[in-house]
Amino acid sequence: MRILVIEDERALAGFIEQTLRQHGFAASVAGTLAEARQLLTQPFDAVICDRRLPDGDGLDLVKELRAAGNHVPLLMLTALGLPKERVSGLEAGADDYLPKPFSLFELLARVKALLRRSGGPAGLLLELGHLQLDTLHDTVQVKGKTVALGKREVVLLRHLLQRAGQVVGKDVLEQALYGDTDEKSRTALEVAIHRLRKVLGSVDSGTNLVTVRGIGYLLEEAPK
Amino acid sequence: MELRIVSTTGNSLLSGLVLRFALVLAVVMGIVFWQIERTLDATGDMAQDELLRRQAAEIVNSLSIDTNRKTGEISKMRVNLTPQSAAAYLERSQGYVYYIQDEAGKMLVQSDPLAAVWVQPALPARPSVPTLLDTEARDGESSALYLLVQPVILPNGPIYVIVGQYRTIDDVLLQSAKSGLLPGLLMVLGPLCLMALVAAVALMRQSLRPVRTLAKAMSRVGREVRMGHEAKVELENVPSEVKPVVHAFNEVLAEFAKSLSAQQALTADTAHQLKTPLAVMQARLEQLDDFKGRKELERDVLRMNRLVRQLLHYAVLAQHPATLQPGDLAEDVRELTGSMVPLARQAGVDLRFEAPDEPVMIMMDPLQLAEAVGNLIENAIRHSPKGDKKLSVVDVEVTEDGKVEVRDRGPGIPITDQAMVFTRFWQGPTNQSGESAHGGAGLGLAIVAEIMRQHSGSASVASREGGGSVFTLEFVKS
Repeated sequence: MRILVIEDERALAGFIEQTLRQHGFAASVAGTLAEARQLLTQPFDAVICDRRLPDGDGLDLVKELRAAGNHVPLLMLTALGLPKERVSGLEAGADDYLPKPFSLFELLARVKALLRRSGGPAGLLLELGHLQLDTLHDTVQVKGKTVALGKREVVLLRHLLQRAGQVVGKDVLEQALYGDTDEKSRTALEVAIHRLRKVLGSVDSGTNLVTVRGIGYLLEEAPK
Repeated sequence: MELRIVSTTGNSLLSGLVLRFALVLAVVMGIVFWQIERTLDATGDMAQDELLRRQAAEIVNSLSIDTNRKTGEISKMRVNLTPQSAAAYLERSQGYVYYIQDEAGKMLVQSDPLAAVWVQPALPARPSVPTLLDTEARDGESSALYLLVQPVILPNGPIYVIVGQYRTIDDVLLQSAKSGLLPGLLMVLGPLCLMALVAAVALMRQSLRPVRTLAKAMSRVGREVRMGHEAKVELENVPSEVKPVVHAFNEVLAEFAKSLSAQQALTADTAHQLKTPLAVMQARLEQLDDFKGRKELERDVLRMNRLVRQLLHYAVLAQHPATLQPGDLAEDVRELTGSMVPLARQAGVDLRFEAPDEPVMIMMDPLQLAEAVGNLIENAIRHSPKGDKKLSVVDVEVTEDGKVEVRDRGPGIPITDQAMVFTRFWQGPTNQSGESAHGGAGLGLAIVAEIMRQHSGSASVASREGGGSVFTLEFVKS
């Protein structure tokens, strides 16, 4: 899988490239917007882009790409960690936004999440712990063994896996299951979650399904 | 360099004015009294002169002169006064004298034998017109004479009629007139002056009222500018005398605001510049194999990150005030809390949320709201113990009346410190190396307070029963 890193700070670009390679990605580095534009004539599976670059704002590149119909998953990196800038970045068409300074592990997690959500080649197989979900066939496996799950539970699991480690709101899940959010569907959601949790607990899935009171649910990798 | 310019008007404008006014009043009074005394003296002199003239006329009119028929010389001269007048000349206490001499200086007639002693030394040589003169006080006598020398032309030469009055007498009269009049005047003028003074004080106070109003306005404007808001004193209703002062004040404020915003821009820029090297440092650290002290180093880097981020926020916040719009407080805080759950889980803290089902509409700047509440949640997580079922819980609650409460079960904040926590760089108790116990940068709550101020709301903290703290943000409902 090919990832383009647009970052003018060499040391940082080096670390990012190294980390990506260690985790099985092929990484290319561009130090300027001009270089990036040249490289982007080839297809990439994801782009990591800094904002302040020697020859302009990375945001402009994002706008260009989106205007040209290029929907490659894009993670903005920036020193401008302010909420306002974060929003303007997302509005310009970035898929996620990571303020500097950041942890390389965080960066890696975000990139993986981006790839999962994009429905690209990586999206076919959602993985967490020992859990694998094949989005093409809606089948779930733990350590290679198929786990029997109801249709609703698979939908739930897919949403939770796509946002692994983050809270998925109840309303989002209700919407996904029933297309509406009322009293009835709330109870139904709780029932479905209960069932999913029971199944995940019975097999060695290596994940925890956490209830976040008042907000929603979160699927995370169980501590080893 | 410190330049001290000392005002010469003293401490109070009003007391200065009153003092000067009293001084002017005193001087005017002095002049009035002096003038009155002079006039009295002059009047006294004129009266005296007139009296002497009448006296002289009376003497001249009552002269009977016998002349030697052959030589035409005066053989005998008498003064035939009415008994009343004669008595005045007899009683020395009345102080009247007369003395008549011929051209050669020979005494023709006198009112009493002593007259010559008095009059003679003072006489001028043959005046042709009536002449007034004073005699010097003589040895052994405390009094002197006012004299009038009246030449009278007779067929064979002039004679001189000299009349006089002892000065002591009419001086006493004059003095008694003065000593009666002046205190009387003082009795009238004194209270008048006092009333004028009181009226002046009242008037001055009233005309100084715009100055007091202005002072209040100026201090308000100064406060606003210190907090980084644009403000100046309107010149419209300012008295023209004070306008230059206000104008200068506005100019200084503008300069101050400019340098303040330059300083904030510098802070923002510096903080911004620091971020990339920090990112590199963090990445380097993560690439290293395990070593002793890694945890501490990582914690230090994190702390530095937080400080830099907060510095940037604080500086930017001052430059870009909130733009308020109606929004659902419950929805926004729910989303924000959700986004902070991973952080809470990393810290072994259970983060929970509670809100009414109905939307809680308030006026807000959504990004700043997220910043304020996010700061409180981050603080609460940091101050919570790790992995304790009962204590590692942070509750976030939105209430119907537009409040956000963030409750933790950490060590809490002593009541004596609660008033301080929203000030800049307050960090709570520090350890021996000067580090805050929880590694806070001390800016987070100052940012929260500023955001709430821009929302016309308030931020407060209280101790929670059973330990921990409750931070409350109150918004204005829309």
